[in-house]
Amino acid sequence: MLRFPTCFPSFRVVGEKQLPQEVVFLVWSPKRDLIALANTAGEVLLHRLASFHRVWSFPPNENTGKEVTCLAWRPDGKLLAFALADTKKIVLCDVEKPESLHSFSVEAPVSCMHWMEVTAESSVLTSFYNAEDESNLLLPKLPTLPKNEENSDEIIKLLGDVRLNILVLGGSSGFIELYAYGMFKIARVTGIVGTCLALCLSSDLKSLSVVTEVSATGVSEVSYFQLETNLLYSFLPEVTRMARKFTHISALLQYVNLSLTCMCEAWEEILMQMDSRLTKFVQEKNTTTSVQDEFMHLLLWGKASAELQTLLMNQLTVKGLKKLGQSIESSYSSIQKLVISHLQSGSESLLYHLSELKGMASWKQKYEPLGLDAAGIEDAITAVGSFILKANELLQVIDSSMKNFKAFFRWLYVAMLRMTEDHVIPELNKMTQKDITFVAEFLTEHFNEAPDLYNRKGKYFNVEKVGQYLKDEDDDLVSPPNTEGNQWYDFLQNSSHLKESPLLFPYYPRKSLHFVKRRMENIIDQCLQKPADVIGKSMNQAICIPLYKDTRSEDSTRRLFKFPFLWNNKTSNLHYLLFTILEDSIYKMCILRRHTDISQSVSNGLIAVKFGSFTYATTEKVRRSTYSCLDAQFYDDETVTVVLKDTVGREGRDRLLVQLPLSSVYNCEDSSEYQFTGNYSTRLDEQCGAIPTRTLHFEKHWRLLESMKAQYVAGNGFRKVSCVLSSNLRHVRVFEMDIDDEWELDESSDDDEEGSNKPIKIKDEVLSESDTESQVAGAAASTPDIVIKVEKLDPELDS
Amino acid sequence: MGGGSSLGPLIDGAPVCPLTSTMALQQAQMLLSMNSLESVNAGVQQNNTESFAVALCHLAELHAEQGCFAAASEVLKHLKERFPPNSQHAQLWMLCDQKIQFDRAMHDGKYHLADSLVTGITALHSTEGVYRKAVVLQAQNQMTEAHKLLQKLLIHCQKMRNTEMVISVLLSVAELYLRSSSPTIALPVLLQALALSKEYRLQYLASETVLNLAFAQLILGIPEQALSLLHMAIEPILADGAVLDKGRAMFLLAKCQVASAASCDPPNKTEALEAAIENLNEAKNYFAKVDCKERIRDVVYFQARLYHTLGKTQERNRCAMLFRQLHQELPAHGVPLIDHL
Repeated sequence: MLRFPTCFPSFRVVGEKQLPQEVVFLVWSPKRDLIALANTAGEVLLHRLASFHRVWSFPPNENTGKEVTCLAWRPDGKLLAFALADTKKIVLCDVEKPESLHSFSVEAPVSCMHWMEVTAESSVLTSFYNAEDESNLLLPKLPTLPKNEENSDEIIKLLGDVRLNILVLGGSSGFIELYAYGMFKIARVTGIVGTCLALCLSSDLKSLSVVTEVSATGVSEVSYFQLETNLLYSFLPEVTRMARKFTHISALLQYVNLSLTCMCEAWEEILMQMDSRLTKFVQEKNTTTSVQDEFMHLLLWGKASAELQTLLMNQLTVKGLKKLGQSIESSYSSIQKLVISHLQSGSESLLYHLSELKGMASWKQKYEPLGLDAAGIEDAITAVGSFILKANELLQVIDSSMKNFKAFFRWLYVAMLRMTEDHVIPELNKMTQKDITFVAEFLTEHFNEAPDLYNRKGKYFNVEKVGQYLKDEDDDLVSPPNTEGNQWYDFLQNSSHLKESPLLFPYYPRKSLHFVKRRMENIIDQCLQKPADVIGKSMNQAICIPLYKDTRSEDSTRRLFKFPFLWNNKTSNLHYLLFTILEDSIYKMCILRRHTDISQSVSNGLIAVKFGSFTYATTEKVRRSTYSCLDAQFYDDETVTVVLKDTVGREGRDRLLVQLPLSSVYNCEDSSEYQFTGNYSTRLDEQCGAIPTRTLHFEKHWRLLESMKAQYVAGNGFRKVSCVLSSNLRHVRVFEMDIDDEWELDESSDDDEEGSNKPIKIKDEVLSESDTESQVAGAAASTPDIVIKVEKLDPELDS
Repeated sequence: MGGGSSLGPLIDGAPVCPLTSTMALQQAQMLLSMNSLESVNAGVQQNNTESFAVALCHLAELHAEQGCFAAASEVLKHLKERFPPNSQHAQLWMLCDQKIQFDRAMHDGKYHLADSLVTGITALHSTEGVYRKAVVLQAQNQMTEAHKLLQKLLIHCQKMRNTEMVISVLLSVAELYLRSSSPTIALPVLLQALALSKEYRLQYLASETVLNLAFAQLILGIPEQALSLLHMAIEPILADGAVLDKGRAMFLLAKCQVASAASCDPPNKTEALEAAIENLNEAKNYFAKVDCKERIRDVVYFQARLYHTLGKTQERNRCAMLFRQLHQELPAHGVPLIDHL
């Protein structure tokens, strides 16, 4: 057996699957043996390494969207973000279950994402965390909303670790945005042209690498940019604190919004019945007496005119009155409950967090450079205060309406029972002088015909006063509260200094709750937006390197897998860029590297890699051909996983998976010989000759990908696995990459594999028949082929 | 301690205990707007309730804290009309009025005026009165008397379980030690105050205490420690503190920055000093809002020294001139840059 060591190649197949839908994106979890896939059907799937078993799927839906463009894991592997092109949304999803935990809209469809975590540790951050605990102690826990998809508490939980992590989004026409903790926008970058192909924010926060593509008539030019992000770097603790505060605030804003929606839903159309019936009555009656007088008449003399009697008995009816009374009571009390327990406590928490934010903003040295503006935040605080006052007003309106309606309905009920000459229960019949005054006052206040109201709203009456607060209209309130006689407002009106006090919250007596809420939202949004603009503007484009012209005409979904690939080495603070240049109809892989700190340079900034030969060490047979690079990705800081195409290889035996160690590329002994002699301002594919090329020969760490037209690869150095995807985007094969490096140990590894064959056997059921022969177990049968090929190739090389 | 007890109880036994001044402001205004819809058919006397008086007093205090004295006195005037001196709740605003006057007198360095107000305050609220007396004594450098009084008050408040006052008194005691240049004795007192204010969730008093702790560390010669401690306290103070406290915090921050810059190499040192000057400007603005000339004088003196170190003669001369003017108005024998917060 040892004669053909190729039977035991590097990398062990641990899973293989034919998928029903084409895969458009795949990415490994950074911490676990999970791989997330997006397919053309708009599903997001999570698979486990073991036998490529499906863990869950997130089906496409109207709400979130159907066209998934890219995926990104939060560095701790607990959250998965995916971007949707059709709805322009970003959805954050828990790794445990396929549910949207949080989503937000962006301006443009996102074509690439990168989620990074800051490496720097700071003692200041821990004290921030304590400060956050404080707000938990001081503020009451918000009650959960009756119906909610996203609890604000959950969102806070989503924040996770204090250490800052940033989700970078890139899209078409230079759209680049940074979201702290994947939730709050902290920067909007401007000034980059083209569609983003890849993004990478270095974990030391010193620079952002961007690769963009500007297309014109089928040809697109790809360029690399490095943006300086020194503001983020030097203000890391402040940015962290601000981002967390902002997330709290926007979560609370959402909570307030949802509470208001619930309130609107609790209000029913039926409550308007009184108004509409009375209006109809006015239109139809032919007497000259006003409605108010008619009712007054009924109140004082116990007798109603014929018209009123018809209205009451035939249209309203005793049953209808009862029903109306019940619905008013139930709906009002549920609105009241929502205001007290949800809306008010939510907006009070909002006020608290905003006042903390004000404290931060007033510390100008720390937060002014980030665009936090104390005056704007003070406005926001005032706006929230006004909102709370408005909510309080609504509460009082509900309170008095409930009282009024109760008395009125009771009286009307008795009056109507009398008309039908029904028996009236004696308790109901009792009416004191006070009750009569109360009803009379209610009638004077509410049953006045208002012709101008008819012109505005098509009704003469506004008996129901709660609905007007909940309508999402710019109109003034139909019947604003009467502030006359309130000594506080009188005093305030007549004061000279107090009136202008910045500490007092303005009160908008004529506006609806919705209006005040919208105003508050706008002001808060403005405050929160400003830092994004300021930080975004500070991110200067420091370096621009035109890379190559891409004439490959492939549809945009496939492009997502494509080069270029960006990687950040956290320990040596380097940005790496992998890309290919077309030279003599083969794609040559190039590695560009730059220091994250723009002022520092790095040796061997640009190098091309040529794959020379692949040998089997023990047989010393040389497999030599020309290889075109199809895909490459960083596997870990030291290794690049590459998929190669053997240009002369037979179909089905022409793809190779290679682990390329960077140490051999950046060999320090002769590194000085490999210097780029060209110039970075000219497009690199025009100066191929100037790019130093290192030819590498492989004895191990490669594998022939049998019977698979492999095209793409996704590697995961943390779990030591790689996933290869075929060019038809449906066939995936998963490898374990860490099997014994030493050829000498082949025999024992052989035994190991025999031993571990069992689980693979079980999995065979899920594999399609055509693939079974390519299994490790079945590899022996195909071995002669390889040997023959090697023998065939050898003479060619000699000649 | 000046505005230290600004969030103190209005009525004995029923302290109004807001989270922060912003929250207090919101609660007060909500309460005031409360009766708006029912007052139409209710009697005129409806609004002359205790809660209404408390809310208005609170409003007056909050305005005074932020330096809006005109608005505060307007509120008090209104209260005076609404609740005539002999009426039931009149003593609420009387106490409030006296406290505001007292604080203003203290800010302005008119200790004799403050002293004359103490009698009035004591008549309305004995604990508060004794506390203020001690504060005046301390400001007049009568340390022994102040200390005796504070110790008595401390025992009394502990007996009455008036925690807010206990913390305020502890802070005053600590300040007294700090002024007598014995920061080591002050530290345990401050830690006790900190523990109490954390336990009772008195966020603002906790921030005050941290400020004093940082000051103690500064005196002890560990400005770097003081700076990192200040990071915790400054934001809540800037968010909700009285204007005077904001100024004091910024002033202390600047002092710590200068002290810790001493060990830096020249370029960093210049940067630190410039940052300190900026913070001093902030402090000056805050002090100006509450007419605290004495502190402005100190700030200007300090700024002049910093400008001198940086070699900015023109700015230095400007500050020196300002200092000269203020010094003539409020003569001091040696500027006590380091002996109080």
